[in-house]
Amino acid sequence: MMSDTIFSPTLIAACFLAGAGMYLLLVGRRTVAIWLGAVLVSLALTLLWLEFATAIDWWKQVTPNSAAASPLFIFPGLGAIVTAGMTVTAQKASKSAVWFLAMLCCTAALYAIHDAQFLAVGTLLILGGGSGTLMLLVAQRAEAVGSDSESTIASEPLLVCICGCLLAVVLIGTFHRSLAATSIRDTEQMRATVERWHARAETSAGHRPIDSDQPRNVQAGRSMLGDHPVAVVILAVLLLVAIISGTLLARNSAGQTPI
Amino acid sequence: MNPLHDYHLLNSSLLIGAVLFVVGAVGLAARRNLIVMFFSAAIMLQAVSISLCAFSSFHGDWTGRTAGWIVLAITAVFGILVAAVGVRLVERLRTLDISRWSELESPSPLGKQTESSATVEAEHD
Repeated sequence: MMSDTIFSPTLIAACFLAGAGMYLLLVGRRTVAIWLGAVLVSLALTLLWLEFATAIDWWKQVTPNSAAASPLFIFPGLGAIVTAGMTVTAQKASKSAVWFLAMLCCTAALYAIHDAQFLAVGTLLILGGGSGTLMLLVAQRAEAVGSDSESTIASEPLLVCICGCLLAVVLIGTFHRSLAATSIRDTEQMRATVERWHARAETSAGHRPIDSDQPRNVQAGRSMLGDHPVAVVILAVLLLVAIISGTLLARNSAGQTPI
Repeated sequence: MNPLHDYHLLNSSLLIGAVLFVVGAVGLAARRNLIVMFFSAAIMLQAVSISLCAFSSFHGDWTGRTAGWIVLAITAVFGILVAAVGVRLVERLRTLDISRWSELESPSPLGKQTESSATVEAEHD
């Protein structure tokens, strides 16, 4: 049942179950601990789903054809959360890199659902094909020279998980409260509120509406180079500096012998 | 189009973004492996990017998507530097543990080994 406070008991229970599961997945060395952690995280996700079930049922009634109710949205959304958790808790960096690439595929699907195909392709090419694969190679190189994975946990993983639980309670609880406060049961009132938000956005400065007649990449280029040229120039300089400094950092100079 | 469809999509995306952000924050604070720390930070940036895209889609303009591109480029810059530091850590110290960062010093101009690297080498022997 939706409540109008951040401190919903179900939500708090879900966050702390997820925290306990993450702790077991992070520090667990035995199979039993890892499976117990996975069960706790699954239970937390189920509780989270039940907490938002009232809103989801209402959404399904008023928006039966909504994209957010279809498997096209649910599978990438759930997949992104699960693969992100596996990325963070994987014991070996190379396994983490593989899960990260899977997470990028899920987020790319989410971008495509939001009509941002250009960003989806960019994520797969730049982050997946560039950074992700580069990290995979570095991780495999580290494992080839005998790098250990035992010392990869912080000294206070329990404290980190508790802080993560509190952050989740605040973030998701605030979102939960705003959902409850928008009087979502009154369909007509909600529709009027959403249309008022759209009208306010259209009159704001810097608004560039989506033109369905033009290709998306043309519109993306106009938005970047026409509306935000300074940001693009700063990013280009940053990338250039990063490439040069990265080359200098990685260079194996003659005076350095491996330890 | 029914405006409530967009509202439904916005809410679901913000929820996913919040969960992803928390998972990334926990990973960034809990792990000491350089590569996994980079992945955790990238997950947090992806969460921000998904939220920006959701707002952009909801309001029907391009600003959020452009901000998503900027976030993507910042992640790429971060990735280049992390990969370079990772290669250096592996080649010099045979590890990806960020807590041994302080042992990674620049070479002296004369090409001699620094004091700390010589100490580590002596301990290794």
